[in-house]
Amino acid sequence: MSLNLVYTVREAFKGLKRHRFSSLMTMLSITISLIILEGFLVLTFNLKRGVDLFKQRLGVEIFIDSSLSAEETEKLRNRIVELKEVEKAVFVSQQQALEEFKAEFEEDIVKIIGENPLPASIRLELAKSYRTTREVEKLETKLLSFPGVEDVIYHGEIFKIVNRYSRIGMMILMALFLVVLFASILLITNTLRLTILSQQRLISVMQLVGATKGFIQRPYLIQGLFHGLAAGCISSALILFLVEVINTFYGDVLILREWLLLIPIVVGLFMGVLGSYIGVRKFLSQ
Amino acid sequence: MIELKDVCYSVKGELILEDINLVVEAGDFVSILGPSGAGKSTLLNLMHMKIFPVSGYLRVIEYNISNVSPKHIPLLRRKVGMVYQDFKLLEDRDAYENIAFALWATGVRRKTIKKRVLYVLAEVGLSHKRYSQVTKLSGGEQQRVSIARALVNEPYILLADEPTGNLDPETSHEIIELLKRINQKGTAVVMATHKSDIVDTLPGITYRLNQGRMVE
Repeated sequence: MSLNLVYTVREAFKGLKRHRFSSLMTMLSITISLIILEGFLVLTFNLKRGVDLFKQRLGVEIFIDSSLSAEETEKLRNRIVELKEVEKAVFVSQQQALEEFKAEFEEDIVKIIGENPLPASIRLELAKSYRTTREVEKLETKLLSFPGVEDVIYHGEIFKIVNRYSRIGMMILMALFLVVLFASILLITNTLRLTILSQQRLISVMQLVGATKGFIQRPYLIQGLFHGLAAGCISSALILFLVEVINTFYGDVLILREWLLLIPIVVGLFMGVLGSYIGVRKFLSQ
Repeated sequence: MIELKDVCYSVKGELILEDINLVVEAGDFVSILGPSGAGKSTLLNLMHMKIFPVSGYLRVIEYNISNVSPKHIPLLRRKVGMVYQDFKLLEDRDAYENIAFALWATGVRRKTIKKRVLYVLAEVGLSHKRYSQVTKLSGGEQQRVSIARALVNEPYILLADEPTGNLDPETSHEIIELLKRINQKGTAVVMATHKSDIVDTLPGITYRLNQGRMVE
């Protein structure tokens, strides 16, 4: 068994060396497929992240009855924070609101009308799954029933537009992603099948001298694994480099998570082995 | 060792072999003589269990058509070596690796492999060319590698399908002498050829095949 393993590994790498040109071409084809797949994933991830960030910023603001004491206001804030729909609740005092107004409009409203007309408020950031028009409307009704809440405002129309278009956009992206994934799988398995096709005669000769199917197949599976792993690593490295270049020129517009870099390696490995398995099995059964 | 009783073989209704009866015993040298298209290669492929008869009885060593399964075929081929007119070598490797492959496939230890490969290379007179790529060898040398590969598993039977078909007369003579020597050491040899002048110089039994039937 161990002897066969030594032979299998040695034979696999000798095979890569013997057929180095076709190996290189195979790796290149798989790398291109994986780069397209990975590029698409990075783009989708960042678009989704952008939409989420936008929705997060489109928070809800609750205006508080000015007659509430500081203690009552804190109690109200605590009650709101405990709601499952709320991720974060920040209290903005009348004074803070006035300063924000000054900074935004460069006018001192107190000088104009003689008093601070801006009410204290609590600004909410909603939990991820509650950033939809329907949930915000439900939350508005709930909040208005709380004593001390004077008004609840949110950007209802923008919420609707963002939600509608982001849902359509994500559906289109998902459909495109499936197409790209399917095309990549086809391309990778077909590339490996063609690589093995060029060795069809060798495989039939191996069978004629008494080699079992498993014995013939194993080195090809290791070669497929190597092709997939190498192509996966190369495509991840290239995407990482590309994202760094884009971020350098356009100021950190893209985020790259570790799991996004792992995907082409895992897909490459899996497709490499699967493609080789399908390729050799086809010729072994003839 | 090999027994065929009333064996028929056809492809898409066309009869290739009809009522073949043949017996090969241990140590025999059997020649199958016939023109091109007579069915010689088909007969040898049946003995190698690459194909199976449509009717009749076929037995090769302990495997017969009723007890053989796909997993037995690799085992059978280690006991029945075969050489071909077109050599069927692993063209991406050298002579040593071609012969060693047959042993690797049977799980033989590395040290034993080296010893046995060098031994058969010496037997066929190719020790000095062991690390030459097979595509760089002459036709005769490639056939010797092919014979060495068939012999390295110490088979009971060696099947040779037109082993001299692609060779000049002098090289053909050398290959035939090599097959005779192999037979003298105890391996049964079954050789198919269309060259009657070669058969005249051979020991053992000769079967004549014409249009799929044994004529003598």
